Amino acid sequence: MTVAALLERLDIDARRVAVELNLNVIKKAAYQSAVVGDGDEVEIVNFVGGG
Amino acid sequence: MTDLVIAGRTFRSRLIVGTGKYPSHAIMRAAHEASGADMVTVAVRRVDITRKTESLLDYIDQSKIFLLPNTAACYTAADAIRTAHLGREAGMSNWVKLEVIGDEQTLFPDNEGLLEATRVLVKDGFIVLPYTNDDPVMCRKLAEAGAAAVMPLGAPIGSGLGIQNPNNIRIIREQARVPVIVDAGVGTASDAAVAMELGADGVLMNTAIAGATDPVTMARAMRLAVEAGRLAYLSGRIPRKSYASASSPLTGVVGS
Repeated sequence: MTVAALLERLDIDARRVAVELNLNVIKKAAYQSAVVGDGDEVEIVNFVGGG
Repeated sequence: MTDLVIAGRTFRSRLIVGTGKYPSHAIMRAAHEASGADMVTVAVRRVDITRKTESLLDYIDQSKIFLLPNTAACYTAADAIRTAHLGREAGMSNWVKLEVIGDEQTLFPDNEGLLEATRVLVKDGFIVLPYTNDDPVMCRKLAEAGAAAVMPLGAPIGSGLGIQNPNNIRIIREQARVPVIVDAGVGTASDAAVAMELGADGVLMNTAIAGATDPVTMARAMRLAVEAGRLAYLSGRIPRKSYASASSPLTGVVGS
């Protein structure tokens, strides 16, 4: 599954998050091509309130 | 009054505010407006995929307000660097408020980690604004490492104690070749004014506004205090004297 497909399945707005795949930040332009496979570690972050 | 310029970017307001701990997003938005700030800090955290939550960004008008992602709660240079890279991709800007925390109770910075992370992130093309101790030597080292500004603390984060070491802030301002933003420790408007009177180029605060009983009115108070403090600094205050110096003429006094 691509990163784009994963975000869509999770109902996450791709424009407002950052995705890390096995500790590498995936550029937004690469969401359609980057593939998440079995055993991969994915981090999905967004902005929350902070000081 | 001149604008605040950091790394070639101009800000109309010298007050930078946070986005955490407000009673609601709507109150945050109103407080931001009352503060006049055109830069706000945000934190980078995992998306909660178990429930759909309102996005903070729906309450920040990014055509007027610049986002400054932080690396809050990072205790190592490596974690801060990783968080900064994620923040850059999420916000599509290379600015970062760099925090490398060294102690849970005081949230004081870890100087060693902070300097290391500053060097790495500057090399990675970031505009780095490090949250640092009120230490002139550390601030000098951070500027030499390429920090675009230095952000010495006035007092521990969220403490509201006010500027604990005004002399250090003054020395930092005198020596620094980059903007000095007093970050953390402000409790009320006079604290912000003191920071500006000492020569700070700006003040960053979160809890003092978000935690006030009326955050929107406090935001306005802070805006006025920062402006008043800046004007007082630019005006050149009178020297302190131990004894009185009459304001009215000493001649022509009735009965003399």
